[in-house]
Amino acid sequence: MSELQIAGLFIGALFFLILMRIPIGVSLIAVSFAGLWSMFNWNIAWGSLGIVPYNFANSWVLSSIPAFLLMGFICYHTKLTQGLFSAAQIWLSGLPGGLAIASVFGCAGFAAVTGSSVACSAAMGKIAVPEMIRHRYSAELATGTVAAAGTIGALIPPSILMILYGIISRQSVSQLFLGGLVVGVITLIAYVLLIVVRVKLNPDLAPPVHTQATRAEKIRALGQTWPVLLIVIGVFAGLFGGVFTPTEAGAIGATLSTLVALVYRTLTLKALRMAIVETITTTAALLIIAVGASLLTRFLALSGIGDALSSSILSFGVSPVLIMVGIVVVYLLLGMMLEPVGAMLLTLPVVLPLVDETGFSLLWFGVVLVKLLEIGMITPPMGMNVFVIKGVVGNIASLSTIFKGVFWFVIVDLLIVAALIAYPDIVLFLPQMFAR
Amino acid sequence: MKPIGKLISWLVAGASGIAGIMVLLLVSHVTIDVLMRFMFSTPLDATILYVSAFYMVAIAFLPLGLVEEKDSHIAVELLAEKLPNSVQTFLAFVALLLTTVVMAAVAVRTGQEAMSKYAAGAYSIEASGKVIIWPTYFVLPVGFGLMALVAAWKLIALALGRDSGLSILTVEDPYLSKETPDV
Amino acid sequence: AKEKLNFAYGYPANSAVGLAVEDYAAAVAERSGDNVTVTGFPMSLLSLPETSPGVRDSLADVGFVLTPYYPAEYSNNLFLHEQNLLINLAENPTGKEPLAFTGAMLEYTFNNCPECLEEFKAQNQVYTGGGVTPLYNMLCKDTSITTIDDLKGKRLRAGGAGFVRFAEHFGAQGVRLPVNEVYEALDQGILDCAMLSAPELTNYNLYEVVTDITLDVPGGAFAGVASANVNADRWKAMSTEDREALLWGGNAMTAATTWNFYTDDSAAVQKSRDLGIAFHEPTPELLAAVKEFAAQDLKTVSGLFKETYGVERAEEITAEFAPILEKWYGLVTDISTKEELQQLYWDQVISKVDPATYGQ
Ligand code: NA
Ligand code: NA
Repeated sequence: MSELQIAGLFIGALFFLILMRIPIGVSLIAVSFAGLWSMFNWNIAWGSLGIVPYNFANSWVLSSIPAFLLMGFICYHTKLTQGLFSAAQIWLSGLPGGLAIASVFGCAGFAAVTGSSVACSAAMGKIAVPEMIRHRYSAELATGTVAAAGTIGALIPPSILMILYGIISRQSVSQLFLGGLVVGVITLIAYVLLIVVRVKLNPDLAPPVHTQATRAEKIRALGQTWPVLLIVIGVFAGLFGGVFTPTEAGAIGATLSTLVALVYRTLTLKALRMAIVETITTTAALLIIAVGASLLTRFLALSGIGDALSSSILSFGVSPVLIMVGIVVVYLLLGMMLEPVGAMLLTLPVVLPLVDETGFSLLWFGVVLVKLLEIGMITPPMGMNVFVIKGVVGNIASLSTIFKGVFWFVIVDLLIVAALIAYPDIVLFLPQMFAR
Repeated sequence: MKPIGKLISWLVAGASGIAGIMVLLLVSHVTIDVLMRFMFSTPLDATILYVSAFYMVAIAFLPLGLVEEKDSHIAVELLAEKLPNSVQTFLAFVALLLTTVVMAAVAVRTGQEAMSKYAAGAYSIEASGKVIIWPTYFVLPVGFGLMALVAAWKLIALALGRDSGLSILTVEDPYLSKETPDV
Repeated sequence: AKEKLNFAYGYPANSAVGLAVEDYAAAVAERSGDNVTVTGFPMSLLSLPETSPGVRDSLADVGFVLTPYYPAEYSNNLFLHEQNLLINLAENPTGKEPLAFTGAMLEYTFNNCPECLEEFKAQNQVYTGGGVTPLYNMLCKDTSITTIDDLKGKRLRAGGAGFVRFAEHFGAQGVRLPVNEVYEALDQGILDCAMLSAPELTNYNLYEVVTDITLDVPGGAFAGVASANVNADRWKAMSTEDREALLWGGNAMTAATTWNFYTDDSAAVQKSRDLGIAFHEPTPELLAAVKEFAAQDLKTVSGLFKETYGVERAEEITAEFAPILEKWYGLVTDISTKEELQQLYWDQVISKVDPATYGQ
């Protein structure tokens, strides 16, 4: 059997284990280990177990994940989020799915603060989902909206993925950021439209909220949003005022939430303990999957999947658009199994030269790639954003429910990708306007 | 069953307690570093090292036993929940067995790595001098080991058809408590 | 037997290091008559901190290892790297100091530092080559550094403990940040300047945010590089001829890494000038102060490594290394191509290594 066939066999085994409800982290580690063992030898497999977990978790950039989680959990357990959503309810009651729309805008706001979509989903998940459930939104719509909206996190700058792409492909990071901003905003608008249309067609998804609020009540509701607004504005001001970096923003947000809750007199020892317990269990449950995915990336790298990818992409045809379709298909497939950084490191060495040959610009491709990798964050079976939402909402929704909830968002995403391929200028006009 | 289950829960709670303290340290350390840098022009030394090697590693791995105890490891129900009950029990058995074996193996391997870091006296060179980092490597065998231990105990309980005696920590929801009966 | 080797390096494929790995693969294939073939793995197989343990445990057969990640395991090798401040003390700088430093470090490691080779052996690795980056400069946004006073109160990105000492010596703050966060930190004004070599302008697109550059301050270079460490089990199982081919490859890797960085440096400086980034000359007083700091810091480092980090021969190494570096300043003066550099390292150092007995 060739190394590639072995890899295919083990990927099949991985799918099987995951479908049989074996915990995803355990499945990934077991399959990567067995794969390395059978493809090479015991020493390589055994060695990888000792090296990868520590080096993966030992990361400054990842530290923003528990920090943003803590911020979200504190806001939730000290009820700081209540005012924000009663205001949204009163102000957006006319709109079908108003709370879901408010959540999408909330995610876009967080996207401007954090560079990773996991951090984005983590911060918004606990704030938005329980409020929607309280207003009898379907769990599917509530969780799916936030999981999908989290993907805007890596599109709107700052973005860790775009910085990494810029380093590997030598493209301008600020130009990538401008292109990402456009695609992020397009995604935002498309998601809002999708929610409106879906709720119009099926009002049960999000029962209309009947409030005949007077002007005075409306203004008073706005006044109750100050705790969360204060936190968000504080984080924004510090970020753009050069006080701290996006990685540090999570810790600052958590500290601000604690202080605001203290002033708001809702911070109890019990609330703090709850927030911390949820933060550590969610972080650990996510990171063991990420460690497993990282191990799987090494196994796939050693299987020589790179060359196989380039030949399978070329099998789609020789015209630039067909090659690009091939690339899109390959990333959608890889996105099912791998997390974005692993997928990028594994594929870019073979994909970048192909893109160059098609005549599409590498700048344009960087933005499209990040969009594709973000779609992978919400596609089954490995969808990190979906896992984050599962982690923060607990028993409100099962993993299958959340995956069902993101289905329509993925369809919209695919339409956006098709539009970007058909009209590359959508991505390029803003960067070109500001080109140095 | 009860006393052993209690003992395991106690170990798990201890490890998670440390992880919880690490979360608070992470957030306060970064906040103080930012404040010192911005307001007093004297950033703290070695913040990145403490955050990544000490806090992050502990937060990532020490709560693994608690996650297993709470059944909070992420898994896909999609197909499994449609299968007959007897098959589902069998799958639960396989999941626990695989978790025990795999996590025990990772615990042993990361334990070996920790011992070699201890033997080398691993440290980091920071502006303030030498910072010993070998203890951070011991977090992994502890975290993975606890996860294996909890899974093994649940496996035994399942096989014997008895209660594991593990205390399941529940997180109360503030919005669903007595204060808001209308929800 | 046919040998297929995997080479892991934590840099992009089109970087100075990635291109050097292509040279390595070509050199090894040619020297072994295609008996030994090498496949490069950029970033995907092992990250930078994973490379040393990864080569130790056979995840890769060859790896680009940075010793500063593991000071306890590589304290003697690291101490050699710390000698890089000697570059600042060069009497008549020609810009080729990194080429000379590479040669001196290669020679000293192979011939005069058994404890260095022992450290690699303890990590199940065989050292076959080194490499050195260009000099560190001040890459600033909206601020210029020309005098000693200019440094006061500035927030400077510091890559390691030595840079923090430099910053504090001049009344500045040394801010520790990963290099991939420098772009945003400069852009937002968290940093005034980053102490980095010029090729990082290209690697991290810092052109877009940097407005002012002062060359050769703080000076020094990154030399904590074992550019082609081979897994020891694999090495021992090979024929003498194949090992000789790997030494030839290690030599090519050393020359290519150093040369690629060297040419990237001038290209990055030229591109910055073309983009209209302002270049500033440090005043003679500042340059003198930088030299004075270097001389003082070399003593500090020597004391630190002897007392705290277990380098017993610290003073002896310092005394032996300086004259070797002086000799190499002379050897590299006429070097003008990568091929000449490769030949020089081979003739002076690596050709004298016996593949039959080395690394056993
Ligand atoms: Na963002
Ligand atoms: Na996916």
